[in-house]
Amino acid sequence: MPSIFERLATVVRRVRFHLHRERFERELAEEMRFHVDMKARDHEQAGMSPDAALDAAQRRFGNRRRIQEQTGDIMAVGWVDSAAQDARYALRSLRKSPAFSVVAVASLALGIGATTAVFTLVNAMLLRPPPFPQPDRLVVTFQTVTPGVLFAADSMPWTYNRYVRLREMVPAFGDAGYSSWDEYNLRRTGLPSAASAQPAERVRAELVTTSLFSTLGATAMLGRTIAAADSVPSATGAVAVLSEPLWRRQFGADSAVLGTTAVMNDLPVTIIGVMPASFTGIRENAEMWVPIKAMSQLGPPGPSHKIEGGMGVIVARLNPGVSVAIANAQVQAAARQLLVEIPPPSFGTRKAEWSGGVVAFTEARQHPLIRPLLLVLSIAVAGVMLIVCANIAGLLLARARARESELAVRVALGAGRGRLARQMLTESVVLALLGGVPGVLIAYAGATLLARLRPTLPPNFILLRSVDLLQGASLVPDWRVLTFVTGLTTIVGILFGAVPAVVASRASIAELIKVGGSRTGTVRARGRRALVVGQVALATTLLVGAGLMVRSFRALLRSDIGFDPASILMMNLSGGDSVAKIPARRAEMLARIAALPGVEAAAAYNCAPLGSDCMFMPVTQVNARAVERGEFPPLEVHAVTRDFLRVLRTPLRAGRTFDAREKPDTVTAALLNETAARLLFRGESPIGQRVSTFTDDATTVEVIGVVADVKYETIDGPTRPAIYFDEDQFSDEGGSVIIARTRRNPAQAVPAIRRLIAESDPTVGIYGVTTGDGLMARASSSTRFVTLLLAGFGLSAALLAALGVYGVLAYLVSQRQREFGIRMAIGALPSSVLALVVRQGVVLTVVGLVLGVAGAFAATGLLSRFLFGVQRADVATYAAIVLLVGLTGVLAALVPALRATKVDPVTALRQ
Amino acid sequence: MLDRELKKGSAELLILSLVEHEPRHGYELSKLIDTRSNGAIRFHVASLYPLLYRLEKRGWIEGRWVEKASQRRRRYYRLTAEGRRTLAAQRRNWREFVEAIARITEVQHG
Repeated sequence: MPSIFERLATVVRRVRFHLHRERFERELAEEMRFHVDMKARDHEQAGMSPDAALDAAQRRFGNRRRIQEQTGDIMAVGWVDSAAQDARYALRSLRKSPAFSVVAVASLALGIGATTAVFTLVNAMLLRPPPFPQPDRLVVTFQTVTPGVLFAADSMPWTYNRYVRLREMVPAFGDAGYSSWDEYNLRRTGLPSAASAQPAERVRAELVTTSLFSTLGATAMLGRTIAAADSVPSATGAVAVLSEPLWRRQFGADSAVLGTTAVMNDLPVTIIGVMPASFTGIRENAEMWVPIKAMSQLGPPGPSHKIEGGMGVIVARLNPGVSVAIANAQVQAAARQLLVEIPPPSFGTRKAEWSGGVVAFTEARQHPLIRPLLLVLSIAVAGVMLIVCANIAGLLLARARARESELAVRVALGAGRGRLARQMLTESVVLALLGGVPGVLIAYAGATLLARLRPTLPPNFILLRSVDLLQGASLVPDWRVLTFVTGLTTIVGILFGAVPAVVASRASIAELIKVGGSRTGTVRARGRRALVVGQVALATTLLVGAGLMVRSFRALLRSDIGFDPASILMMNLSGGDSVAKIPARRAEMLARIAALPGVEAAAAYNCAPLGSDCMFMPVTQVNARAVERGEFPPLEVHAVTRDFLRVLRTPLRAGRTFDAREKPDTVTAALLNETAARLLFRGESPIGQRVSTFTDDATTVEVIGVVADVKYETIDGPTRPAIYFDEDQFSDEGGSVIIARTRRNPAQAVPAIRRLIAESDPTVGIYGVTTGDGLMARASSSTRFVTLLLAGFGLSAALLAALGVYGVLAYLVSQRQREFGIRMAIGALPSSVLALVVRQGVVLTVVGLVLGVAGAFAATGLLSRFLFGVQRADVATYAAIVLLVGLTGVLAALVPALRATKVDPVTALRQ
Repeated sequence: MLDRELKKGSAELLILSLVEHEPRHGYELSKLIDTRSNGAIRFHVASLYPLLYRLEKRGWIEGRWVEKASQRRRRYYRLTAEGRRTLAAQRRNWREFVEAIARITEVQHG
């Protein structure tokens, strides 16, 4: 056995040959010349003339060119050259069987494309780090209060005052920044008169400290970020930094935008910079950044618009060498201290537990449902990829049979088994690569299409809101995606190439020359059958998942949400002086809207159904009794106009709704939903009883009615107990939601309603126009996303599996044609031959089904977070899929079976 | 003239044994084979150099250019350690083969 050094020496020698090929050829020529000259000298010494001697020597030597080539071949056939040779051979042989090549490359392109598309999503949602330097050093601080004001444990935003103190108290923070957020009306100024008729646009802005930009390490693309000098508010207004999409949309991507002005609510702002497209702020959907000190100037006066009382998030960059655990401990200690210094608002007699801590920034940004969603997708697409590989392996095995004679000749000519196996493997890898290139394009197109489906998840109240999963994410393949594609393609090629390679390496001449029924033939047939069983199993698992999701989706759409979404129109109003605030003006506008042709009724709300936007207030009193903190969950608070029940078509369960008996400006009456009534009054009728949600005085209101539960968050989420106030009595700041019930197509009423509102108040901004159907679609979009994908994958898998079954049985029939001919010649009925073939197909399908059902039991655990209204082990779904797959298998078997019965016995016997 | 089949299989053995004790160049090898076999084996030059390079590639012999003052340079081949091992093995195989043939033929005649 050659030692390792000798092996190394051989490798070195080969490498040196490659590097110095030219020199080698020269030296060989020199060596041969020497040989010839020596021979000529011998001839001369024997008596020939010099010319005759040289002539004779050269003739004896032979064709030097050919010798050179031969020798060159020997030296050159190292693995690089042999790999290139194999690749060329593979391409040639693929060209010779175009039908096979096209089918194989197409299925590979689709499989690799789908898998890479899912990986692109995984990359965009999970793997890509945020666009800041050293994002692993960034943390977000949080604080929780137990029991909370609103929930069992409230996750509290920080106030600005606490932020200032925390910075001083936590030495682990190298730098820290504070960010609050809100929505404002933005109007461009300084435009030529024709364009200044532009309505105000509603934008999401973050109010930040200057240290936020330095903490994150974010720099502007144009201009600059907010500096310390800008953060002091002045009479002339404040500065503002734009996001790239806003700059593009509203400011025409004009590079001269710096220094221009706009108006945010009533505050003039000067644009000083534009952020790059990759920067979307703390909350991933911010469109503008303004200094936090401008907060009080931006909003109407009120406690929530004073900077000290504002709500925000603290982001910090840890000092080098400080771990998250240490920072966590320090923040906890600081939070306890702050509890004493700046006590929180409290009511009731129970003391609240306060705790705080830090969490990694990247973790805070991830919605908790992202991982399960991506896991489901990844496993499903992996299943499809495996099925594609199995299909191609089957095709290759079938093709190998056709190439038996070619292989036999090569073995006879002296090709080593290892060489043959390597050749087969190279063919597979070449095939995979040919499929991989269009696969990347398909992946990009696929990912873009998937993104269009806009899956949205319910908001994550805990830390940072991240609703639209792919907002701001770029789907262009980056190095991670390309590495994945290359790796996947190679693995796939080796995976489905392994089988034919192993078979080829076992080929022996004797076996290959034998006619039919060879041992390799049996191995091949068994291999193909195993592959088909696997395909059927995978297809079954995918289809069960798809079936469960389809049922979930239907259940979601059919579930009782408490109102009728058909032909409803919704829009949000913001800003403006009068319409949203002055009850008389509002009532007039609503009446005018209701009077429009095609509109049945109109009402105004403070938060819309399925909008997840409502505010909460704690129950402070029930009748004469003061309520303990944490005794009841908080109530959803709704401020509605008189017609709201009619607009929503929500049933009134008891008592009456608001009417003229309710005098404006003082809150005297309230409605409860069924859940609240049950909770607070435990089976007694709540009508006439009194409750209070107010902490600052002892006002109680009378319950005058009970309405059916309406879902204000998600379709599949819990129904919260809710209390409704008459909007005329309950003064509310901020925007209003207008809801109208139309007679026919709600979208048609939009222009008329817009005109009407603009007439009432030209300064008001309209945004978020949706129809009821649009609302339902958005609320069910993530379920629909998963359903569509699983159904698509499942059906493709079933089709491929059916092709697999067909392929195996077709092969079987072609192998046993003679036998069938004989059988029928001696009297067997065609139906018995049919039954024989179909039975084989049924066996394969049944085994695959059993494995698939078992696999489905295991795998559907992954879906549990997405299922609604249906059990994991739902018998009806499993039964339906088993039936579907079983039928498909039988149908796929019928085609070759029918062909078997058509075999002419005479022809078969003659073979 | 010895059978072609035998010659093919034994070519490697010949070359290896010829360079066992001292390095030789290509022309020298072809002459030696011719003279030592008394003309029974004549190596076609066309197969000599490819064979030499094949042996070199396998690491059984090593070729090196040698330049002496009075002559043009020539490429000498010598046996490597692994070549030595292969030579011993091939000699053994050859001996066993010859003995087996001898036994068969002797029995038949005997």
